[in-house]
Amino acid sequence: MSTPWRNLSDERRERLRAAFVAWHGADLLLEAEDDAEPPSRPLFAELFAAATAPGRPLPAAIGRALLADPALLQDFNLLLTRTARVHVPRAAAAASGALQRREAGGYSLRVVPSRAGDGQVYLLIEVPEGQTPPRQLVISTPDGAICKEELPPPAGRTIRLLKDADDALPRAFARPDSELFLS
Amino acid sequence: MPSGRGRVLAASQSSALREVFRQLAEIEGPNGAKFTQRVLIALAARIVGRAYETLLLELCHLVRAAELAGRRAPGDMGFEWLFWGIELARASAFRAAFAATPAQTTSEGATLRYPEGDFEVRFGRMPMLAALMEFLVSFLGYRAVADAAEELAAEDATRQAVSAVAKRLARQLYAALRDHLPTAQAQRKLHAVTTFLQQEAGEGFSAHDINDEAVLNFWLANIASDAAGDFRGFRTTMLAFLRLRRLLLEGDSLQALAHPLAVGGDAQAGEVEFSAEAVLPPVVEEDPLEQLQEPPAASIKAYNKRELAALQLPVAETTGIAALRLSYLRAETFGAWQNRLTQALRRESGDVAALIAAGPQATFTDCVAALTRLAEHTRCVMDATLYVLRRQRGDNGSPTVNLDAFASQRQAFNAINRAGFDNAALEDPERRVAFEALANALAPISKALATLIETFKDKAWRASEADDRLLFAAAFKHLYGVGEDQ
Repeated sequence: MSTPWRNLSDERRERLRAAFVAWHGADLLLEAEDDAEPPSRPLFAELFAAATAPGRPLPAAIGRALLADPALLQDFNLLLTRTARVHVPRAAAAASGALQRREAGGYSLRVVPSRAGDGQVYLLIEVPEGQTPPRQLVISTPDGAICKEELPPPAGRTIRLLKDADDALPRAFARPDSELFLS
Repeated sequence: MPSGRGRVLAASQSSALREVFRQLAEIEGPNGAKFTQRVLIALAARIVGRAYETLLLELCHLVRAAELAGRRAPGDMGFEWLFWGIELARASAFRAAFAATPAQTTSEGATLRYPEGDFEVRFGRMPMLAALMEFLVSFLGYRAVADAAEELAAEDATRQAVSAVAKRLARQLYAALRDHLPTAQAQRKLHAVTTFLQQEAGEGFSAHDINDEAVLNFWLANIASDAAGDFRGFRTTMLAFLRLRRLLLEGDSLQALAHPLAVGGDAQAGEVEFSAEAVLPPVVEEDPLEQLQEPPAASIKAYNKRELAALQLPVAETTGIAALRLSYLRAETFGAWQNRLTQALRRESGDVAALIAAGPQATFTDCVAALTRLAEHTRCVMDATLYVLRRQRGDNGSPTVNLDAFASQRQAFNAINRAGFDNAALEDPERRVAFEALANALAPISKALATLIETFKDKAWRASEADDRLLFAAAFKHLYGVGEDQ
């Protein structure tokens, strides 16, 4: 049964007004626009998957968005900081030149030339005693370039990763302003 | 007078909020949308109505529970593991996620211990809270949420401290939403609609005066009026009348939504207080479409995404559509036509005059036929479900049962080529629970569709279609300035 409008008390009209505003306001927000413009930013869910899923390369669209959007890069770095097991921060301001060694949380990471002298380098990660070996390394640079690498199982306590010396990963590793994240 | 494109762009005042909700709706995994439409509508209503304080408080407790559980787990991750580690935001998924951690839980939810007493976040609330989290990260930013999580993760946190964090988030959200909410627009719309109804039916108008004629006349009279609150879109106009009609009929039972701000605070400053009076309606009522997407029924693919979207309004607003059947058909056909026009104008592509001349892509008959197909498909799924349940009970068409019905149910089962309808379903006892849940959900859907099919049975709705088409074409030409400044 419907109460005539004129018989509604002020209080009920006010309730009805608030309910209508909430309900129809939701309609206005959710009414589907067919063929709407694609989202201007990646979803946070996509960032999370990109940051935390080992073995899955960084999607190209996310990589481009991180290069173009400093605020998104800040969110991505914060997400990595909060979700990674080990965060190797930027080197001290005094540091200059290419870094070959970085340390944090008991982990030691080094880049050493391959003995074969064929222009390749090893990234060596020493896993502390009692720690589960990390499965993923992400290196983030201030300009938004991200290197993401799935790590092989360690031999003993050392994870070895062979790369060309001019590959993006060793170059990002050497930058004092880069941050490293082990997960 | 603004151009046609100008009118379309002017109508997008809440575009930032709309984009966030569109993104939330588009989060999908291999098994479907992360959030159900009902959860998103409930969240949007609370955001627009600024009735989110209690939700924020619950969310803060849930973040704390996730932080404590995540940090103790081998992955040593913060609250993120819970909110983005789950593919489908359903109560059962949250229950399973917490079960795999050292968190303290009951059969109903996750329990937080505080010096002032325990606080339980119910699993049934978690889908909505996860949607709110996704909304906050998009709208306030991840930093604001992560900062809050740092405080909430303190081992010695008290309920008071959690409440303080929730209030801070409420203030931040209040400020961030200030220029984005369609609240004023919706208020103007209500005023315009009630004023119109008073003019048409007098001060004593009621829900029964909301009919197809009123909706159409109102739309035609207000189509180009910004003062009325933007009634350009026929579909949203129809929805406004549908909502008002239901509120007038069920006002008392829906009053729980009517607490946009809890008492006791300075709303202008965002100083809202949590109050027992700010009781919100349950997030997930007995909604059969929600049940279909919730385990155990979710393991059976009764409907695809398109079918689920098509069922949303008919199932949620069955009696309203039955009362406004022509308006529904106009919204489904001419509303889609109008969508194509606004897209062409927004993108400055396509010949709008030609699109108007081409007319709608679907007819009223197509629309009713689509409903009929949905009803037939639903009956088929129900028959197949009954066949599974009979076979699970060991009933192989014994002489005591109606053999015709049994054969028809078996035929339906064999005809459905969707996930869950395989021969293993006939014997696996674990699958029986899923089919029982499916049967429960399908019954009200079938009933709603049957009601609507009955509504459209007399075919009188066909009579006005040709005239309606001319009327809408003329209205679109006027609205979008075709022949003026196009």
